[in-house]
Amino acid sequence: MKRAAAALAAIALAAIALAACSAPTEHYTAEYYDVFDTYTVIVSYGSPVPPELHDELLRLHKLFDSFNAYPDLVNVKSINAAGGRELPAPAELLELLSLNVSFDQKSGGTTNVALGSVTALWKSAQETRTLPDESTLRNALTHTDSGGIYIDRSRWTEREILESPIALTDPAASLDFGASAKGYAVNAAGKLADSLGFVGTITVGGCVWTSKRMPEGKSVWTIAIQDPDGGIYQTIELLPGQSAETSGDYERYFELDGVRYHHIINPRTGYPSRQTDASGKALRSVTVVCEDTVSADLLATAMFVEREDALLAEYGAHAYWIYG
Amino acid sequence: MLKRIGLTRGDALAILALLIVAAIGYAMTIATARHASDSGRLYAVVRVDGEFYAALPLNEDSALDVNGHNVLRVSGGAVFMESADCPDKLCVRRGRVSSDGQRIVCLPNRVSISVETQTRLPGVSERAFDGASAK
Repeated sequence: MKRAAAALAAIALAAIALAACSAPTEHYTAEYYDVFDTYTVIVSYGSPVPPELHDELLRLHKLFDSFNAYPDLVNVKSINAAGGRELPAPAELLELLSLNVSFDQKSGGTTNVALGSVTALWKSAQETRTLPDESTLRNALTHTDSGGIYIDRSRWTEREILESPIALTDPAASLDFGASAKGYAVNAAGKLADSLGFVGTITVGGCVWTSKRMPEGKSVWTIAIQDPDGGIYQTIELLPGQSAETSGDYERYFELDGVRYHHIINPRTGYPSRQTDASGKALRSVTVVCEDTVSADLLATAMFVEREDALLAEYGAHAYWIYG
Repeated sequence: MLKRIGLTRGDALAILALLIVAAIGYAMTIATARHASDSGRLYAVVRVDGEFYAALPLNEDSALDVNGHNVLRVSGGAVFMESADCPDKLCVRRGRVSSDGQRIVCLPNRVSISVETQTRLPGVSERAFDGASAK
């Protein structure tokens, strides 16, 4: 009788195993349009997309928003509008600010966080479809010194950054976290996702975060890199937990007299960056694959402005380049 | 007879049970394979502001007007945005997509089209792609 019971147990176990095999891990998709002025899609395997992930993205979107102020929040907009006055900045804003500034120094000034005066001119240029006046642009470039950002670090310890007063000592300067805020927010949402046991991907515009946990039967994440001229250029594979970020000239731009003006401004010239390969073909997009999303975001902008393979290597990153 | 080959009644039952399991397993494998090929059908899944709007099978030519703002067309196994009233027309320039996971997004109108293989009713549980990196 014991053996019969064992046999029954074996049947039950086998049936469970078979059921598990036959049901493919299901995906759930959630799309959002309210963070970082782009399209967000979260794909979750096995269980519905946790709403907390979008909450986290939205929270950080507001913190780094340079166009809108929010009640009871010191954010990029309020710091820029303070006219040099000191404001108490949240720790996360100061953390990314410090990170962005030190990365910028390493990258030779390709991701200047104090470029807001210049990027604002290009934003209104895109809206009005007229080029910024050259002397206005040259003048704006003189207000882009990140050394002029005052932060009271007296309460910081070596291990912790705390909410502290910040002021732009040059009131005509302004902050723009275009090269890093999205990556920072996605990274934070990813950390939260990990703590929730999430399996899947978080994509905000050109920024992709993947979980270390994989769905059953999958060992890598497959990511599509868009062809700047339409369709898919190539698919690449990310190892579990890796992130990818694409910077390109083909989604945010305007054309004037046959010239394309895209949204990534070279901080050294004040104009949209332009790079060509040996045969003179223009760089259309670069996709950086890296272990963390903040570095991927910064590196993608830096590489789009100036290709620097050594810097990629320093971050253990690699890149896919599209010239054309 | 069982005893002559060293088996008890329980052993025989266990062997019988395993044979049955194997048979069930074989049958299920075939059924799953058939299901997989069925669910391997590609659909253009349309969402508006994140909400499911429609799913069009890619193997049937069709067209869909999305709230009077975008018109998408399925033809020859691919889907494309035929027209849109958005200012940048990036969705129209995106061209034809036909492989699982490919996506067309009209950001101003908050319309997305993604090519997906369906396993369940759309909006309840949907198969989708891993990600797409583009800016």
